[in-house]
Order: sequence, then C-alpha cells, then structure tokens
Amino acid sequence: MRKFITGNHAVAEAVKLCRPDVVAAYPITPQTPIYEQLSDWDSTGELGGTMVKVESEHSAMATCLSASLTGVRTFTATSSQGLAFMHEMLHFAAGARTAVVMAVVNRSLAAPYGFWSDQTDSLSQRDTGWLQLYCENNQESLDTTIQAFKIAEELMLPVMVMLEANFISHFMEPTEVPEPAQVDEWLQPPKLPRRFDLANPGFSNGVVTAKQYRDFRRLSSDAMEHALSVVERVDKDFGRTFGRSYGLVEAVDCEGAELILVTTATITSTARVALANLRSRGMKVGLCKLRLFRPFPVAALRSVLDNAPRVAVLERNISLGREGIFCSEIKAALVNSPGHPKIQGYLAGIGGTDVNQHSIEWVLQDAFSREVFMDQPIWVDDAAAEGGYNA
Amino acid sequence: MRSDISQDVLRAGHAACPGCAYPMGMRMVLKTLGLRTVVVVVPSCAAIIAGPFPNTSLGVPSFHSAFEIAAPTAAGISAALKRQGVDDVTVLAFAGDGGTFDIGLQALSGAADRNEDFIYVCLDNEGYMNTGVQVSSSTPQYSWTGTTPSGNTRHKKQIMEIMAAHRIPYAATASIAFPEDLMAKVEKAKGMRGTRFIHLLAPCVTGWKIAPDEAPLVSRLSVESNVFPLYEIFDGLRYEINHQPKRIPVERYLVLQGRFSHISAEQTEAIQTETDRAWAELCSREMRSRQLYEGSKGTAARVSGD
Amino acid sequence: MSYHTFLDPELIIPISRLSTEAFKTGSWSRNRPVFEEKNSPCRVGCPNANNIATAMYMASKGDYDGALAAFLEESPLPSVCGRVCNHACQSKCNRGDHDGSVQIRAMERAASDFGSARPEMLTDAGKGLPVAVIGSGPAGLAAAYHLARMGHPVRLIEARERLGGLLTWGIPGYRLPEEILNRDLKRILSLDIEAVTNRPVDRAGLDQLLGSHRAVLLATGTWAPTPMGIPGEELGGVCPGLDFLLNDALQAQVKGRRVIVIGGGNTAIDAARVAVRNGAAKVDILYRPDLEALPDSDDEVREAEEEGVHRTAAHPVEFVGEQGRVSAVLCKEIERADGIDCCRSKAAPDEFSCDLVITAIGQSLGASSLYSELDMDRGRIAADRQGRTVRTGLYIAGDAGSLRATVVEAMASGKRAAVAIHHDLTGKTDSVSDAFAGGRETFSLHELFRPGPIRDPNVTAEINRYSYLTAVATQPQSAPNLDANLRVSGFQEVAGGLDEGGAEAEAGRCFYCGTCIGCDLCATFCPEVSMGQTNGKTAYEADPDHCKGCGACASVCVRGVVTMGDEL
Repeated sequence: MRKFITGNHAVAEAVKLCRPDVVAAYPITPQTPIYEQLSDWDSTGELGGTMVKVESEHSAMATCLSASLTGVRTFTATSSQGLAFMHEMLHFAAGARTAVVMAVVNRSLAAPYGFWSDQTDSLSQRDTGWLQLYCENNQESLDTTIQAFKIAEELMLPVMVMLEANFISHFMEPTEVPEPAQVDEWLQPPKLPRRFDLANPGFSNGVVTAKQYRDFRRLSSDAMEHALSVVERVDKDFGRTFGRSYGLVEAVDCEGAELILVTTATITSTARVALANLRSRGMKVGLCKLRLFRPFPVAALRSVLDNAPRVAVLERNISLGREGIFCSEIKAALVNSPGHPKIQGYLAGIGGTDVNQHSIEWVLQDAFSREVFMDQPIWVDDAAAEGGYNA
Repeated sequence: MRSDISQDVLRAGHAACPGCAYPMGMRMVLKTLGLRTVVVVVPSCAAIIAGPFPNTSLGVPSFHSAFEIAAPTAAGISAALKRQGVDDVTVLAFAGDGGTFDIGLQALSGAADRNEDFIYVCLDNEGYMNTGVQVSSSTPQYSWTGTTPSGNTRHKKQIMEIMAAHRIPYAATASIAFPEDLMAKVEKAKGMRGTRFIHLLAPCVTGWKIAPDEAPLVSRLSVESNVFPLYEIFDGLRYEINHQPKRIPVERYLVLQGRFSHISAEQTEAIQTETDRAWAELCSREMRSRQLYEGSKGTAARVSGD
Repeated sequence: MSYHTFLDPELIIPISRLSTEAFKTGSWSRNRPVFEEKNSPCRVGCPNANNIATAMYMASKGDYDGALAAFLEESPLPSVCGRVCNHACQSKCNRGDHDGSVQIRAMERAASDFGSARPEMLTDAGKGLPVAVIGSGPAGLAAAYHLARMGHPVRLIEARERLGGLLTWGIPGYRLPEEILNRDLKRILSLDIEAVTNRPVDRAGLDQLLGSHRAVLLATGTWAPTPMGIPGEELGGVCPGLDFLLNDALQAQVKGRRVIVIGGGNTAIDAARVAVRNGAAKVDILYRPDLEALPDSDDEVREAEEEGVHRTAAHPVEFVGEQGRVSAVLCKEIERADGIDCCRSKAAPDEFSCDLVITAIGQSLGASSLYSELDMDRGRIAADRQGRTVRTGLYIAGDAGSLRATVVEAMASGKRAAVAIHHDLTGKTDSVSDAFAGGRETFSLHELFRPGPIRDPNVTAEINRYSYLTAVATQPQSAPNLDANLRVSGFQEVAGGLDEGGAEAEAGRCFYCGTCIGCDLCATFCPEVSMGQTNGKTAYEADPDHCKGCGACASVCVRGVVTMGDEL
C-alpha cells in the first residue's frame, strides 16, 4: 500500500511489519516520532511485541542486547547524543553477537547544539562492530529496515540503518508499504540462539584470556567480511519479492566517466539531478552511491571506481583534523587499484546545511577541471550553493 | 536440607578470596531460587566468582553484562522470556554496591520505575573492592579506602530509601549472618512480580581488613549494632522491621575492622549517634507506615507486576 | 577454521559450560576444618558426666523420651538428681554470662517427669560375673545399675528395710517425694539386680560375699554424727541431725518447742525445715560461717527462711542445761567485718534459749569391723581413684570413701567403681581406663562401650563469639514453688517443675556445646560450597579439593564442634 508518510513513519511501518518482540527506546529529536509511532501501535496492540520505555539510550541498548541474547527480535532507534551515550553498549551488542536492529536518525552532535542532519554521529560508531547502511529516501529507509532484521539475524551481528534528520525523518514522501503477509513470508521469525536455555545452561561472556579475546575478534571479523555477501544476497532477494533493491553501492553512468562523484544518503538524490544536467551539457560524469559502510564494500566500490581518472567525494560529515570520513575510507580502498584515480574530498551540508543542485554542480565542475588534487577537503561554501560554478 | 550440596546452584572452585561473603550470599540466594533462574552478573567480584571462560560456578543460564546495566539487562531477558512464553523463570541480577549505588543507579532507577520483573540483589561490600578497595557512595563514613586514605567524609547513601521512592513492590535488607531471614526474603521475593530489590550486606575480607573467618561475625555485629538493620519495605510505603537488634555498641562492630582502625573516639561516638538516629527514624517510619497502611498488603502492585 | 565457524552459535561468544569445580582451590588452603564432638562445659562440670547437651537437644524438640535416654546413659537417678542435685553443671554453662545458665536440673526433672526410657545395655547380657554391692544409696545404686548394664549380675544388699540409703532416709519428702525416688528405683531394678533389704552385713558376711562373688563393693555411707566436742553435748534434748531425720518419734517431740539447729549444710537446713513441719514453735539455725559446709544451693536457704527458719551466724561454745535437759546454747558472737562473717569472740557470750538442739555439723564413718583391714585417709576408707581398696576384690564407693558428700559425687564414684570392677573382671586395661585412672575427672560410660572416638576431655569452655550474637537473650524458664504457708503444713514437694512447653523453651536456650545437632550453619556459610554431611548424619566434612581454609565454618559453629585444624 502506498502511503504519504515521513521517513520516521516509514521506519516505524517497517518495524511493525517485522513483528519485533522487544522494542526499547528513549526519546530524542529527531528520532522521537519513531518511538511515538511504535508506542501508539503498542497501545492499540498492533505492534505485538513488548515496548520497554527506558530511561536512557544506554539502557535501551542494554535491554535490546539481553533480549536479543534470549533469542527474540529486537529494535531500537536513536540519534546524535543518544547514540553517543549508547557507545559502550554498541561495542557490547556487537561483541556479544546480538542481532539488534537500530534506526539512527543522523543529527549533529553537540557542542554546539543543533538539530539538523550530520552523519558524524553514526560514523563515530564505525569501529563498534555494527553493520551500517545509509539510506537515500523514505522508501529505502523502510526497505532497508526490513532487510536489516534478516541480515542481523543471519549473521548474529547488529545492524544500524541510517536516515537523515529532517530530509528523511520529517519529510513526507509517497512510500510503498508492503503487505504484512508478504513480509511475514519473506522474513521468518528469528532463529537466534537462546543463550538462557534452562536445558543447556551456560555462562555467556565470561572473562577470556588475551588469546581467546583475539580469537573471538577474529570470528567477528570473519563474520563481518562474510556480511558483504549476506547484505548483497538479502538485498537481491528483497528485490525479487518486493521489486526494489539497492546494492552495496549504486553506479549511475559510471562507465567511461572521466569523473565519478561519490555520495551517500540524501545528497545522492540531489546529485542525480545535477549529474543529469551536467551530462546533458556533455560532461562525462558518473555517480556512485555508497549504501553500505560497514563492512566496507571495497570490491564493489573498486569495480566502479578503479578505472575512473577522477573521483570526487561529497559528504555531510567530518573527522576533525582529517577530512570527510567516507573520503578517507574510499582513498584507502583504492590504494591498491592499478589506475589509482585522483581523489578530492568535498564537505557540504555539515550541520544540516542545504546541499542543492548548484553546489553539487559546483563540486562536479571543480573536480572535473581541477589540476591539483589536495589532501585536505574543500568546504563547499554558501556562495557555491547560491551562484553555482562560475570559474 | 541446607547442607545438601547437590541442591546448590553455585559451584565450588570459584576464585573468591578465602572467607569472602559474596559467595556465601550468592549461594544462599541461588539455592533458594533454584534451577529455574537466569542470572545476570556485572563487573564486580560476583563476575569473578562466576568464573573465567570456559568454566563457570553458576549452574544456571547466566550472562556477564556491563557494569552499569544489571537492571536493564535483567529487564530485557525478562521481557524476552515472556515473549517466548516462559513465565516461570526468575531473572536475577547480582550487582555490587558500585554497580548499584553509583554507576548503575540511573539504569536501576529506570527499571524500578517501570517495575520491570526481576529480583535485584545488591551485594554490598561498601566499596570498589574488585578494583582494589576504592570509595563508593556505599562506603560508610570514616572508613578507610584506597581513595579515602584519611577516612571517608560522606555518609553511606541510603539506597533503600531511593528504592522505596520508586514504590517497587518489595525492597528488603538482608545479611549473610541471618541465612534464614535472607532465604525467607528471597523466597518471598520469588513469589512476587515486578522489581524486587534485596540489599545484602556482604563484607569484604580484604577491603574491610578483617580475618578470613570473620565475615559472618562482622555481618552479625552490623545487624546487632543497628548499623545495618534488617527490614522490608512493601510498595515503597509499608515498613516492617524483621529483627529487633541487641543494640550492641557500634564500637564492637568497628573495632574488628582494620578499615576503621584509625578513627578517633569522637568519630566512634559520631557513628553511634548517627546509628541511633537512623534506627529511631526507621522505627518511626515503621510505626507511621503501620498506622497509615495497616491492612494494605500491597497486593495490587504485586500481582500486576507491570 | 571452517567457513561457518563464525556463524556457529556455540563458538562465536564465550559460553562457559564447564564447572569451576575443575579448579582445585583447596590448594590455597593452609588449614582445614576439623569436625570433632567435644564435652560440653556442663558435662565436664557434672561429676557424673551426664550427656546434658544431647538431652537438651532432644527436649528442645519435645522428645522427652530421648532426653531421658540421654540422661540414663550415665545416670541411674535422673528423677532424683532433677530435684536434689547441687547442679555444678549450671555454674559452667556458657549461657551463664550471656543471659543466665540453662536450668539443667529443672530440665533433668522435666525429662524424668515427661519421658520414659529403658536403661541401655552396654554389653551383651549374660557374659558377666556376679558382683555384690553393699549399700543402696546413690553410690551403690549407681554401681549396681552400671554393672548390670555391663552384663554382671548384681546382688544389692541393704541393711535397712527400704532401698535408697540417704535418698530415702536423709532427704525429706518435700525435697524428694517417695514416689519419685521409687520411679528411679523401679527402673534400676528392671535390670539384672537382685536387691535384698533388712540385711546388715558384718565382717563375716563380707568375707563370705568375697568368697561367693568376684567383686564386692562397699557403698555403706557415713552414718555416724560428728560430735560438737563442747560441754553439755550429753544433755537430754541434744540430738544429731541425721538421727532426727531418721526418727519419727524424735520429730514428734518438736511440736510447740523452741528448736536450735547447729550447722550450715543440707542436713541442718533439712532438720530445721522438718522441725517447722512438725510444729516447732521457733526454729533457729546457728551456723559457723568459717567452719560449716554451705548448703548445696541458695534456694534451700531461701526456702527455709520463707518457712520461718531464722539463721544466725554464731559459734556455739556450750550447751547449758536444766535438770539434765538442754535449755540454752551459749555462743561467741560472730562479728561482721567488711560484710564478711568471721569468728571473733566478744567479751560476753550470747545465749540462745531453747528446748531442743539438733547438731548437724557433718557425718563420719564411725567404727565398723567391715573396715578393719583397710587403710584410712582423713577419716574415710583409702582407695585408688576408681575405688580399689587394699583388699583384692573389695571396692569402695560413695561417702565412705570420699569427703565430697553429694548425691552426684556418690553416683559418680559408683560409676567409677563399676568400671574398675568391669575392667578387673574382664582383664581389660585399655587406654581409656588408663587415661581415666590417670586423672580424668569425668568420663562417659556410654562412649566407653560404644565404637567411635571418645570425646576429647578438653572442653569448649570458651565458646566462640558468634554464639553470643546468635542467641537471643532470654530469661531462664522457672516454675513457682509451693506457697510457703502450704509447705509448712506437710511434706508436699516444694519445688515446682517446668511444664512441657516451658521445658521445651528452656532446652531451646541450650547452645548444645560440643554436640553437633546438625544445625547446618557450617555448611550454610561455607563460601566454597564444600562443607557437607558425608558420614551419614553424624559428621560434616570439608571437600579438600575446594576448601580454602577460611575458617568461616568454625567461626559459626556455636557448639565448638568444628574448629580449624593445624597448618597443613
């Protein structure tokens, strides 16, 4: 059924369709509508599972991880400060091989306080051992959330689904909400290990030696590596049933392109327009959308970027003292590629500022004509957004 | 029969210091709850006692969670078990005083506020003993610790009052020196639903600087001197004192413990005064609550459990 | 590593399924608990070594049959001792300093009143050799009882018309009713004992008995009065205390008269109280605080005073007579210095006028041909600690061989002599009898004949600190005495007995020192889950693989049964 709903609502719809057993959450702007929507359905009985209205995100994750270890399907959602507060638990949930699914509405981290889109909150959780998927729009947020349960439960690894503050969370879009029966058919009840089985008692997560620790990390690492194929398979499988799939990365007009722009999330949508405009003017530019960040899809990315002479990475986040986080990751991914494209990083939309067609065209033209590729990122300023590229 | 080791849930071979009161308390609690129990331990001496991988002293399904989340971990398991249709299993959390009074207080408060369904046993050894004896908000006034070398200046936090303020169905103090009382309280808690809190004083041989065989005696003295009275609070309202202490002078309790060896006569007197004050207050609370809530057995809160 | 290892639920996180029992933490230990039952302080304080702790434990559960059986292990006379014993045990009670001694005597009475039990045989019957016992007071009865339990047929010979010796003739009915004594006698005579009365034994008779029996025990007591040795003792109206107690006609003379009793011990108090009950107009006791033995318990003095007996510390120096009958006792007055009575003569002696004087300053052996070949020691027949006299086959027990003239001491000496006779007849000189002969004050006959270790004589005199905290302070149970006005009109028993509930409560106050009652505290407190009952129901043992030697078990063993052993 097609519904005109916000991204938050879309995620909530997805969660309801997946019949979670335990949902634990705590309000934070701009994630709160997910929590509220699920609470509404909890009060009417439509949700089916148990809502645990915790006193903090930290406890939300603690509740979800232990419920997941008990063997049930779990979900939470948060944003920004809440995600940061959860940080310790994120490591714990991944290390304990839980299958928690979490929607993260990307929002700038204090200080200073802001309420707008910025990906640094989730990217700061890069090394916690969670899978990370970045969504471009409401539909993709809904679909990815459904996929996330299947991925997490197969791998026994937790999955984060990112949607951007306001641009997705609060913007309404026509969104296809699948039929419950169809989702039930596609997503079976979880077959997770029951760590608290009275018939087979064991003490989970006892203290280990250094060597044992290394070996368990190795297993998690192997699982993460394996996750690439699982995410891909689940996405394709989803596409066969629901008619929509997204890939680990998406390449638009990249074949033979002299410049490929790499984007994530909502900037991608705008970039699609800018790209079409410049291509109509004869510029051989392509677009590569990065959807999966952890595990990092090196092979998929290289298959798109390896032969491009120029790559521009445009992103809404920063690792202070370096550059945009995706840019660093992409540079590292391509370091062994024979063609070794030139790569320039661009920062746009930090703090939730607008990234419009003009500013993306400015970036594309800059990267297309640039002679010197700098190690530092280029901040795309408001003038670019207003005036376009006039050099 | 209590001595029947085959009925014990806690196993031998754990790594507690000789004479540690933790395994004494854990043993009594677990034996009372029996095998249909899931245990959460958090970083504390209890986690050490639970054993290093791949061995464990816990004979029931159990989980080593993070320091500050004993309560929400237990809540999550409890909720999930119910979703799986398992309704006759007690979820038990063991946390130390640090994990309860300090770092875990927020999470405990949240769970207690929601009246999550688990039994929470705070094994209170009055300090961060697992990290080598540092002050916690449970450390009594004037006590030496590694971070209060000249004595703790603060009073011990009144965790029972905090728990009572949440109006949970059951909160009780208990002592390893009173096994019958402790086990009866655990049994009583087992028969209820919702958040049940047991504040169990469990002396640390190392941190309290007592002889390895003195934990039972010192525990006994803590009760009989009124430093640690035994009582229950139903629904956060109705107080019941379970043991009329002998009101032994606190000095007899303090003098056995090296952590108080430096204190002056005036400080001993101050502890006595505070102990007397607290006892009088407890007695008046009990009397007042009896007048106000006589006949209210708090059954509503206990049955509904949510 | 197989492809799917990282998806194998059992392998991806540390799940401990093995037991920590694999870790032998017992190697940390420097010493281990030792389980050893010991003699309780009360048992050591009891000359007869009564198994008090066990009896108390049984009674605490309402099992008075068991309690009585425990007393009968060592004593033939629980009904008697439950009333007239001087209860040295109680002064040793670990509860004494806490909240008052357990009322052991009252409990022995309760056990005998409420329980019923048969004496236990110590050996298979019918293998013993005939033994004669002369005298049926507490010493003779005890010896006969124990010898019969050891399988020796006993001929018990009594000179007077009824059995019981001093119990029958010397202790008035208001302290020991006849039917109570008969209860114990009946139980004793249920054993292989042939009792004959009205059969005084002279020297020839003794020789004859020594010929017909392998051993003969003299338990003839001390029946001769100790003379005052002051002028006027020959006057009419002056009579010895025991004669007074024995002679109904003498007792009848006191009606309406002024009576003076001289002496401080039981006989004096009893003579005074008997005089009151026979209608004496006034009864005074004059006692010499520096010379007299004091009565066995303050209770009796108090009871006598309640009944109107007046006690004065005084030192008689002469009996004054009129027409050959005593009319007054002249005394040096006793001065009190610093609250302590002492004899210091004043210039003019005090005069106590009277119609009758009863002297009760002690008993002596008197002259008898029975003793003619025996050695004497301080007025008593000399023997070794077990009663062996210089004459082979002849043993001595009771007051005739001892200056410690109490019922329980007499009983204990009878027990010691019985063991000596048994060992001499059976040719046993085992370590136990040697150790006993070497100076043990008390020993358990029951344990002597039972397999298993004899309890160490060392007592738990210093009970551990935990017990004081475990025990809620409770006042000893008591039963009211008969009203004084009712008492003096007859010979009804004065002391009230506990009712069953009171006795159960009183028994519950006992710490059962040295006796494991399976309270389980040692096991309950073991932090290593390694203390348990392994040897049936009788012993606790620590698992050496895991016991870290912390000593918590010993620290909570209120009874001192579990203690920490020597360093490993």
